[in-house]
Amino acid sequence: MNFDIGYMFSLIPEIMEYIPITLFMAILAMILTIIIGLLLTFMRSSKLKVLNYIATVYISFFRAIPMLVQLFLIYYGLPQLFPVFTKMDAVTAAVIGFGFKQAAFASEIFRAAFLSVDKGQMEACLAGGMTKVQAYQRVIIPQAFRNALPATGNTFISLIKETSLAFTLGVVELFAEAKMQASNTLRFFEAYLAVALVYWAIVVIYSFLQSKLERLLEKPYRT
Amino acid sequence: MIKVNQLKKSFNDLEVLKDINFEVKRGEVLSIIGPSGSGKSTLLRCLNFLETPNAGTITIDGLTVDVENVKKQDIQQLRKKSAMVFQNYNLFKNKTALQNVTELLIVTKKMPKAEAEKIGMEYLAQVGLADKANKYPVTLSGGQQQRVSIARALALNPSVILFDEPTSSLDPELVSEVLQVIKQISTKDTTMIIVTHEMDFAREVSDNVIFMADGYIVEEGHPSQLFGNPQQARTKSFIQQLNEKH
Ligand SMILES: Nc1ncnc2c1ncn2[C@@H]1O[C@H](COP(=O)(O)OP(=O)(O)O)[C@@H](O)[C@H]1O
Ligand SMILES: [Mg+2]
Repeated sequence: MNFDIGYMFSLIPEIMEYIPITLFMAILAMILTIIIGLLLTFMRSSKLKVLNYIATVYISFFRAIPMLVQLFLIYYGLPQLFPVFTKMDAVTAAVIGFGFKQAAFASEIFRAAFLSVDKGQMEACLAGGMTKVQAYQRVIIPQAFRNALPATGNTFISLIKETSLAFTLGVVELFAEAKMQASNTLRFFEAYLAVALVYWAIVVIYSFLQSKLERLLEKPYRT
Repeated sequence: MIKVNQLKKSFNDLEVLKDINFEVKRGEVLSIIGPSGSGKSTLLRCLNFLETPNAGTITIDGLTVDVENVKKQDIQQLRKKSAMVFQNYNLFKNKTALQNVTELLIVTKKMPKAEAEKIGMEYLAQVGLADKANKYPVTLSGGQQQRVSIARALALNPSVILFDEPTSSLDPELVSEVLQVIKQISTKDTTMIIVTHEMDFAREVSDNVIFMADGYIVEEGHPSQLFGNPQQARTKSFIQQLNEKH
């Protein structure tokens, strides 16, 4: 069989050098996802019809278009309309693209997470003299956070994987590095398997950390 | 102490409270009875603006609010004068029994944590749950949760405590432990308004009873009068029905 296992393992450290850029993109995109996702959630529960409508259209649009189309739209398309965007580097474009898209999905997660905190607790806060903001801070958001964590964790895992698409904009991250190694040596299987193993390891470690956090947050709910 | 004047509340076209007037003196216990859907919960919830009334005035302990002319700060002030015990307890699920009692003290009364905890423990002890201070709500029975919520209300030292059917969600065998706690509070001079279907209990603890139907106060009187010798036909038939259920 034409498979050089030694070569594959020798590639792993080289590919791993690109973990920082991959995680950098994933984490920034996640922060953007959370900010825009929360904004969309509040817009959708707003009494102002127009905010509600904007959020609904946003979600419908970003859920529908393929990630690649969106990245190309932002990186190659926007500068044509607005010259300022020619200065935007590929990493920024990728982060914006990932964040904008995942926010559409995350807003649904957040909405469900808030809805599953029963409204009686908000009433108990208000009746006890708290302001709405205090109630959100002290009682509602901590519980919504715990409700949202498992699904939001999956979003982060999706983001880690999606960052591989940034290679199409010229960003050298995990996958782009593997691709280059592969075309240098023509050992495609080794290179792609090596990068697959690196992604796997990242996701396994992340999942482990998340399950630790989940257990911690579960404490009040264990009978 | 508490005075409600010409209070009106509608949900869209549905007039739930048509013209409500009553008074409660300091230290008195008022019970509100009446068929389901007659507006009892809505009335209590108007007193702390969980529902916004459409017209009338509400006075609690020297603070009078004209509901048609109310500012955000007025609502906040009014809310700080009362505490509410809900049918479904509404404990903070991410907090222990003790934290449930201290939370509002720390946030709304800006009380230092240590002092809040000291007070919290006293009130948990008063409802017989000192040993459950560090338990989370899910681990407590319904009766225990309701007692924590009563401790939470008491700790605020409010001018009035509003009880909305405090035992209606409880399994029958857990009702008496909660009623017992409320009875014990009623002997101190806490002012209370209690919506309840527990007639024997209402008869025992109340200084006054209101019978509500269709958004009006149909009859009001001393419990022995209202239960023993109701004057209105609607009151009579309601009390008869309740007695038959027993
Ligand atoms: N938030 C609301 N929106 C619309 N209708 C309501 C709302 N809350 C209560 N109602 C209606 O108001 C009436 C009185 O309800 P409620 O005060 O809960 O009665 P009670 O507590 O005496 O059973 C009922 O017909 C109920 O359906
Ligand atoms: Mg009710």
